[in-house]
Amino acid sequence: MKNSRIMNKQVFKQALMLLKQNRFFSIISIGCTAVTITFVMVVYMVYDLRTTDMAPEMFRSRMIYSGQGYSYRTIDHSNASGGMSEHTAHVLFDSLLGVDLVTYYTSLVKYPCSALSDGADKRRTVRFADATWFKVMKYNFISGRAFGKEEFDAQRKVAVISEQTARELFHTMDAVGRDIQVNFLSYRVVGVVANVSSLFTKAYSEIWLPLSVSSNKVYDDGSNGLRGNYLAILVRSRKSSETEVAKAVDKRVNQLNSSQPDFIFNLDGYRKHTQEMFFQNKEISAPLVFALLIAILLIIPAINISGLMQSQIRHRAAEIGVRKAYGASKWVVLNQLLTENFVLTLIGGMLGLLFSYVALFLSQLWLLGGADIISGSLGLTGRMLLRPSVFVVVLLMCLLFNILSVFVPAWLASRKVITDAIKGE
Amino acid sequence: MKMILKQLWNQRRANAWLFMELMIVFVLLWFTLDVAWNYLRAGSYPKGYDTENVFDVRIERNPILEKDPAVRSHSKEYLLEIYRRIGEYPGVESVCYYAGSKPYTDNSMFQGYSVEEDTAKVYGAKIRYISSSYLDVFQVKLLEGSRTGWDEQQHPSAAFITASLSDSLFHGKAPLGARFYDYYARKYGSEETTYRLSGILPLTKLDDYARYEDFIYVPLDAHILEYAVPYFAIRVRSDLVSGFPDRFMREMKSRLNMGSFYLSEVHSYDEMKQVYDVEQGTTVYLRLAFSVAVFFVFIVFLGIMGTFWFRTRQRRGEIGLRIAVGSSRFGVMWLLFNEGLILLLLASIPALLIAGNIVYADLTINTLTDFSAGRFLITVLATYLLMLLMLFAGCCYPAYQAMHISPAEALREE
Repeated sequence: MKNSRIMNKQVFKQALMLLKQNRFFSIISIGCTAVTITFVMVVYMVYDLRTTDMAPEMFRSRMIYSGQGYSYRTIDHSNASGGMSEHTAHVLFDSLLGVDLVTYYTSLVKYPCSALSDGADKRRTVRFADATWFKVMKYNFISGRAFGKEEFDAQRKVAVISEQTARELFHTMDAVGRDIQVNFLSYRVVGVVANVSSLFTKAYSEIWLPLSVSSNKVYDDGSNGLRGNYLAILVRSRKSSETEVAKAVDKRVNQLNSSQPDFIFNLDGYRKHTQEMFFQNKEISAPLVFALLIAILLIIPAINISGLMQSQIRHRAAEIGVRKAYGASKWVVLNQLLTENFVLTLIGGMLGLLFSYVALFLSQLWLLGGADIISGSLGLTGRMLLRPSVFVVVLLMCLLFNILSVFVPAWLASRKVITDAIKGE
Repeated sequence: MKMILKQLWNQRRANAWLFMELMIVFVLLWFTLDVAWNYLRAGSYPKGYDTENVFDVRIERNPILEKDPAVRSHSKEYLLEIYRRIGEYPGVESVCYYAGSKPYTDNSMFQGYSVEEDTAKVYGAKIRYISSSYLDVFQVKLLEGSRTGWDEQQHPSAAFITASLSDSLFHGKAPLGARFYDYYARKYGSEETTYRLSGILPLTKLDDYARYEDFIYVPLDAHILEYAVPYFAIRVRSDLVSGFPDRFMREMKSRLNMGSFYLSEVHSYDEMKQVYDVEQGTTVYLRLAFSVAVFFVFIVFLGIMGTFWFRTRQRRGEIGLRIAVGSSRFGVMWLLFNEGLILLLLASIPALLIAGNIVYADLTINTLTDFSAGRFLITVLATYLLMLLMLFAGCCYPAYQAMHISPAEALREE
């Protein structure tokens, strides 16, 4: 054990020497690795930032999103229209087995907003939701609280607003108890939460209002009361699976349709978080697509370095031959070549990680801003970007890349017969 | 030529890696360009209406004032007055209002149509209810017919339809004035809606990145203004476009405040397109395709440069000898280029076979543009071009070094 450590140290020293001697090879190898790791890490971070459980979206891995659904006339399939009413939503999703939390909401809207005292109105993002919303999304309350079930049921005009909204409208963070005008209606502020990065496409908003006071409910009577603008998020329990929940919901849809003959309601699918974030399509598996992309991004430059490595090893055939003549095993030679190159890979990898942060920051809007959010800044913070898992992944990617790019030529070299190697054949 | 092949064969170990890389990258690069083509080709076709210099003026309702029946009863007059005032604003070349399918939004409206001769067949089309000035604002060039009498409520109502819808409805070319009717309105609605073919629309699509669809434009019945707010669109003189939304908002906010209506936002259609492209993922797909293409190209560049650099170093003696016996320095450079070129050509043969199989297996992305021999030819040529560029760029430095080998030194080393 101790021996091998001394050995590794020596290998390391030699690697640095080699790096200086073969300056051209080193530059190409490091450049290649840096570009590779930049692309790989950008792809990884886009996936990671969109899908990892991270406050306020703490339950991403267990969330199931309802579609908006659509309904049509049973006899001739005419009058097809999208949307799900409050009643339909409750019938389909209330107290399902294997589901911990159910919350109902509508898609983001923009409304003119102002503090009652001054008339300046700026359009702000508003989310209508029920009281459970604040159990599903773990907001950081700076002051006040979320609105509760009683307030929701009693259709109280209350609001939760973001820190920035509070500061811009009331010039203070402590806006609890003040009145805010949203789309010309007055609401009492009950809570102020820390700003939410628009990276969290579901949790993000500037103002949250009770869905029970939404004026949009007037559309509820279309297609025999099936149509509306409700959406649902289910948080499944740890023990249940998506398919189980999907089956249970399907059963409810069938019950609903058999109870009213004139119209048929079709839920139009439910999606896991990864499906909701990418492609919005059940047929494409986002993890698979991302893994494939990363594999391609790693393998092609690895072929590149393999080729160069082989040319370089040929120059050192004699050295390797001598080592073997003095008793170095195949594995020792292999290990030496892998370790030597890992120094280069690490240098390239660190550069790559740095570049990937720059790239991610510069192109955050088109890489990460989707759905409802397209302008301004996403409000990415260091806490989101510099998580330990990112560094573990970059290290793993470097290791993988190193093995991919050195293994074949090193294996070939280590198998060479000693005399051939020394002769240089 | 024979000599180059022999050289390549002699160095087959080192060449095998480069060969493999060129082959794989050729296929992937071609596929990436083909994906981009799917979007870009579709985006290059005209939409059937022109949104350049066109702005969307959003009028909304104050829900509190709207509750007052006295205010509500004047909705139509207010909206027509708003329409008139928007048109008077300096720089506004033309103004229109319309409803139904709106570009760069998910608001689209669909209707089914039939002819009396064959009442069983229904043909669907996207519908737009327009004032006749829509043709000015969006510069729609009718292939046939005119808008005469469009804004006077006529029976049967005038209608413009796309040629393909006309072909399906009337089984071929129909004369202007031919009749057809709204299938579902007749089936469920109270009023009968018969239309008179009064013009043929150019090929039309709802979004830049979409396929052409059947469209129908019919007059917007002024009664609708009593309970609904239409979309207002204006064409602005091109020299006044910059800064227009802010200027308009500032100067018109109070003038357009009538009854329960107020001016909420002004956006150019170009801006709406950008937002919509991001929402639809088109922006991501296109930029991702180009980033990945740049990645492949750069990796190939490094690969070629590295391999040939090693090669010139290994073959110093040979190159020195060539120069010594009278080969010109450019001749030496050409030798390297040619080696790379032949390697690329050889690698592209299996690559093309693979690409051909991908096409044959229908694995290309054809959501917006159909696959065609021309598309294959263009994307393959573009791939060759990019790879060639990288070949030359990658050979430059090693070749430059080879050119400057001093024959005496090189031969002494041997």
